Amino acid sequence: MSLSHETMLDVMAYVDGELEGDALDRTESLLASDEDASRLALELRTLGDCVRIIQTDRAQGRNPDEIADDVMKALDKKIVAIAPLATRRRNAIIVGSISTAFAIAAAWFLLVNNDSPLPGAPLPQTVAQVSVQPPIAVPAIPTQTPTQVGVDPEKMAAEAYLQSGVDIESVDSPKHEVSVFYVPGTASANPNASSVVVWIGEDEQK
Amino acid sequence: MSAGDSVLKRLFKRRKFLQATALMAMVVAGGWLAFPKTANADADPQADIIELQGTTTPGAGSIDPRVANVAQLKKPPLSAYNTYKLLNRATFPVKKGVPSSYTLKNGRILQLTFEDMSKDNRYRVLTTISEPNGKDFLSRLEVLHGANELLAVAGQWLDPKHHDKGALVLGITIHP
Repeated sequence: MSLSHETMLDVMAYVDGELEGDALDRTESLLASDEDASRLALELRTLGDCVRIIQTDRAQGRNPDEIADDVMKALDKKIVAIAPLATRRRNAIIVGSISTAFAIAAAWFLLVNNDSPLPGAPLPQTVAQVSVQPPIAVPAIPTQTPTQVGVDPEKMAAEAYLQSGVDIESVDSPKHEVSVFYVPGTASANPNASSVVVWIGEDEQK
Repeated sequence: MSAGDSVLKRLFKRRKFLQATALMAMVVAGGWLAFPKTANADADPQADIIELQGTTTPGAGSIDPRVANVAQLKKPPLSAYNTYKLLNRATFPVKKGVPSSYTLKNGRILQLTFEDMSKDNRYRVLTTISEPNGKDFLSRLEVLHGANELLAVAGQWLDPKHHDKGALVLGITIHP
């Protein structure tokens, strides 16, 4: 995927229904013409669909196993389609394979209060009180190539975020599941930069 | 050549020397002022570590005022906990190629190794976490840190035997 960080934010805002006017028109035309952008929109929408299924099931009082079944059934029926995420530039053992399955698992961990030990992370004891938001904001790290660095001021501004923020180059944790969350808008120096939350599960994988 | 010519020539040479010296001083001073000091590849950066206890409590919860400016705590996934308490804060140098160790509140050992500066002027730091018995918990996490930007590491129990004590959330910041 070769989308700029700025473009990814636009696509995210589009999927969240936050765009209006020129920005909406511009992003819609981008989605119509750019395969990477449309794939990203599909991935984000997929996450939203999964979260909505979980929310609906929770509202109906279904238990975590039933919720997981519903999500998997939806996937089987292709109600939601999961597209592969872009791979990272090197040693992408984990980062490059941050898949929608991680997103589903993370959303599930955040939304469902489950007392049974689950692989992944310690769960808050009263998760139901946590506000419900899509757990992954940026599913893939934009790959910048030297050819994208030019004299175009907009491109240069989009690249500026690289000089701040946090970026994961490689992760290796054979025994513990690791999820990487990019959190845009929380880096101190640059509004285009992302900070990162690395979530390491306590339970050992077999 | 007369004596007067020789004196004039020496004075001229001395003036040239003074002019050249002044020019070099201006160039050095200009360069020192013009270039940012954040990218001193020779100096060892400092690591700031904060250890937070994350729990979910009834109601709105609370965030320790000492970390109230950490925006990440209020956004997913860290907003899964609505209460954060600062347990410890430490600052230590991270030397190039030499692991710096720090014992976490849950007994595990955090190691940070400054590898080099990236092309985009960020700190490439290798992070590992091991069990007290030496086994790997996190074998390798290679991160590009923008100066003063926070990397959060979550998912660990504060006390693996007492889950009611909540989660241990680390904040790692690298700065010049």
